[in-house]
Amino acid sequence: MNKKSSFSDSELVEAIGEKDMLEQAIVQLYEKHGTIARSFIMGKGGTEQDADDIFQETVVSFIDTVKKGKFRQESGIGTFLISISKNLWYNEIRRRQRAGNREKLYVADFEPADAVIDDVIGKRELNSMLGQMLNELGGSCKKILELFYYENLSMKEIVSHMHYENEQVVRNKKYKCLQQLTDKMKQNPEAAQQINELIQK
Amino acid sequence: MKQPISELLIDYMDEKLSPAEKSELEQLIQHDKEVAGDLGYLKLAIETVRLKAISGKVTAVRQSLNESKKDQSSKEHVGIRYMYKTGLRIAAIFVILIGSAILYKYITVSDQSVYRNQFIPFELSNMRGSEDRNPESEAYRNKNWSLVIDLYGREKVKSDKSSFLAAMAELQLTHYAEAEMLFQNLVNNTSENNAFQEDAEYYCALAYLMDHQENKAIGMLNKIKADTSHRYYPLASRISGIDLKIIEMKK
Repeated sequence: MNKKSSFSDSELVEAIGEKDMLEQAIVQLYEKHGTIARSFIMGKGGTEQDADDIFQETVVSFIDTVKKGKFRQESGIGTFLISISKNLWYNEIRRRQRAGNREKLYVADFEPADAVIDDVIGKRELNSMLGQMLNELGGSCKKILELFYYENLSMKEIVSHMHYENEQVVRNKKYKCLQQLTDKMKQNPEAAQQINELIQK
Repeated sequence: MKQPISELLIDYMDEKLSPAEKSELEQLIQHDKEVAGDLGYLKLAIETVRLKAISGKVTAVRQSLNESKKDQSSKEHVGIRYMYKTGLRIAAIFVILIGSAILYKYITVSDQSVYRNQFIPFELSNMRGSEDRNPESEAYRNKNWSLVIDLYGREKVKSDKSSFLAAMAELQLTHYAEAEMLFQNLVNNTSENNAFQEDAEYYCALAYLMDHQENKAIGMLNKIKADTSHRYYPLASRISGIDLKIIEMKK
């Protein structure tokens, strides 16, 4: 796919799947859909920062959904993004209320989400906890895991990328890092409970 | 299987196991809840890595968009500030120019300056009346102001004309008080025969100016300016209202 100024919905979905087109796709998601979603959040009591954060989370969830092949294109991307944003924001309001923040509620027109969005919302807090655990592993662990599982680089490529001695060193480091992450997940009771519920589904 | 189960599970996720090893492990996963649980944790860990990477990409784009938005906004701000500054500069120059003009006007306008600009020597050729060859007229033509006054003093019957010439001679000699008195007599003489009333009004006003009786001078000049049929209207109307105001303020 060549670089273009604007993608159609189907081209955008395709661009998300291509490594060198992802950045352009994200820019389009922000430029084409960001304003409406952000306006919605700010119109429902959110600050500008809330709107920015929620829309970023929306874009991440959308890309993840597309990459997992779960995005059904019957509804347009705009509709889907707005729906995720709304649900994330309502979820955030509830979370803050639980945390004791006395913020005005704007959930009267809460829309029942579809299964994909339910999944995004359902795993929101867990993903946040797991992301924090990954950060705690340190930069080199995070980098190796990301290069291997996200960038799909081979061990050989990672060796040259990160200047390790040889592939075996990287392989051992990767095992260790993943093990550390799963150990952290098991040791956190809140995360472990949610993970166990997910596994049993 | 010699490898620890945790490593096998990782190799399974990475698709590094041989078909036989894979099959054997899948059997184990089916029958061992703990191994299945470990696999679940592992899947979620890898999903977290992917999600975090996506989040990193999105964050980078968001920051870059925010930066360019800031740059744009800053450029617009600089543009507006430049326009604002330029506007202020123009306004300041305008105020300075106006201020300088007012100051210049204030400094340069005075009783003397108005007198200098407005005084036109009275010419006898303009005389109204027939007796223009008498000694007093001759002395006036010769600009012998003292003789004009002397001859006037010796006159037993003082005509309007000789009074006016004497007043003009006093004015030329900068005897303003004397000139004012003679002019004022002519101004007060409202008889139809007085051919010098309007002349007297104008020159009396000038005499008042030089004698620092600005209120009287301004009153008289305004009277002439209000009367378009006045003989001295064209001269008096050359004096601007601002000049008269400045003279009034300066007194």
